[in-house]
Amino acid sequence: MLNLILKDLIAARWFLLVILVLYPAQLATMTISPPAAMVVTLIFTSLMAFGSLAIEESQGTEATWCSLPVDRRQIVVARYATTLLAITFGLGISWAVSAGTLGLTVQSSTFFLLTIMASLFLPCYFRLGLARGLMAFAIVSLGILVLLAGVGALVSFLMDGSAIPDVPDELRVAASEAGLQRLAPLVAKVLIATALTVAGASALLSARWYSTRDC
Amino acid sequence: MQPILSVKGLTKRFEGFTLSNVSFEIPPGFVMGLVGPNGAGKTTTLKSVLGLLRRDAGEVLVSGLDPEWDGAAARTRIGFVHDEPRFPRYLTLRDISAIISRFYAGWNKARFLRLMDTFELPLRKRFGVLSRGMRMKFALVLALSHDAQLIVMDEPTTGLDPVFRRELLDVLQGLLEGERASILFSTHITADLDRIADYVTLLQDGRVVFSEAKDDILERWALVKGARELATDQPEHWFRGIQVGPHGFEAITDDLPGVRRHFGDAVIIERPTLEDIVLLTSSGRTNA
Repeated sequence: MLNLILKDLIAARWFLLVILVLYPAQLATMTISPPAAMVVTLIFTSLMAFGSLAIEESQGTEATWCSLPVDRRQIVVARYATTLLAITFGLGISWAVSAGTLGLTVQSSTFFLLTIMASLFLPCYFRLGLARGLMAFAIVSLGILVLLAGVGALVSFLMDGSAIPDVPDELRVAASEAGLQRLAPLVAKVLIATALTVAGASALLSARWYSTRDC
Repeated sequence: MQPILSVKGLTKRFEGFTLSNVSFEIPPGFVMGLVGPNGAGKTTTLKSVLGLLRRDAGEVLVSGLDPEWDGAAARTRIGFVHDEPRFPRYLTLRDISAIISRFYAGWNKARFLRLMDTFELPLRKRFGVLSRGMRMKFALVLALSHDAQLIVMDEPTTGLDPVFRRELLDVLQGLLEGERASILFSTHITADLDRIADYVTLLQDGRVVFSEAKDDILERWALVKGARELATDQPEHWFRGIQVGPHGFEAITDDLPGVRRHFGDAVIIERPTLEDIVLLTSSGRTNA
């Protein structure tokens, strides 16, 4: 599996090198504006996470790698490992360059968001290939967003109608700025653990689907 | 002796095409040519041997291992050359070989360098700037550098100029002398088969027409030529393919005694080339 991860990194090394130059430089100019820094982090980390996959697809090398003495399961696990490594590395750069300006909660939320995106996208890719997989991913993501918006609207409606009891004082304190800061490490741990659990389940699904797909 | 490759009843269904009940075997040290027109199922067969396609029925065993279920173990024994070799375009041949070599425990670096030298392939060149012929040669070098028991090549000579093609086949033949490796290669250039194949499997519309030793095929099959009016007499009974022209017919048969009995001296019987067999069996019955 390490050989497959190494293969991904070597095959995409020029692309990664360009990102490794541009990303910190861009980030360094954005540290005064945390929202802008977050956008830059999100964009460049996504490029690092999914770039090697796009390069592989554009060069049509999938059949070549599948012809090597590796199991489909190993290919899937290596792809997830490369993606998670890239996300972690991208956020690490962000943390180092912005000197923690974005904060633990924002960084862990970004990790959560990107890992969930990868966990939704990769099964689509392993089942349908890149082009059709992207379409399926877009549909699934849109569906989830619509669902979340619907749930949000419903909650908001119920709260307006006082259907939800008053928020207890403990939660009010927790929701205050000081409370949030105190809870930040716990929130980060929960977000990361949840993201990794979802990624694990997603990897199992991908392995199952990829083992039945033609290369 | 256990065959290096055994394919039994291989069936793979696609929308609009079915590879049906394909069976053949390759003993160790022999070359099998898979021949047939475009769309006959050659690439599907080779991809199934590599375990890239999930078959619908049948069995494929490489040295007793199923590439679909024992993929890694089976593919360790296979060297592959795809019809269009694809490696990262921006990497040099040295980089690519460094990646590929890590996957094979039996990687023979000395042999790799010797073959690179033989084929005059520069290690520092990027894969993307190589010609098709050079890419094919590089893929072949990689396939031959890890002591594979079976080399699978999908149309390795298509698109190459005749000189280059001949050179490639000569080098391949030379490399295999004294080796235990077997070769399965597909082509629609029958001259390639004449040069290096020991066995030939002819595929047509996803089915095997024949799979035999090349010498037996040339011995058993015959090219029959005769007057046009003779071709109207139940040709499908005697011939596996016939082409009728304004001045007569040309047909192929695998029932020479039957043709001799039926037509006597009214027809001319010649020894066919593999090209005659492939062309005429592919044409079925045509009127020129």
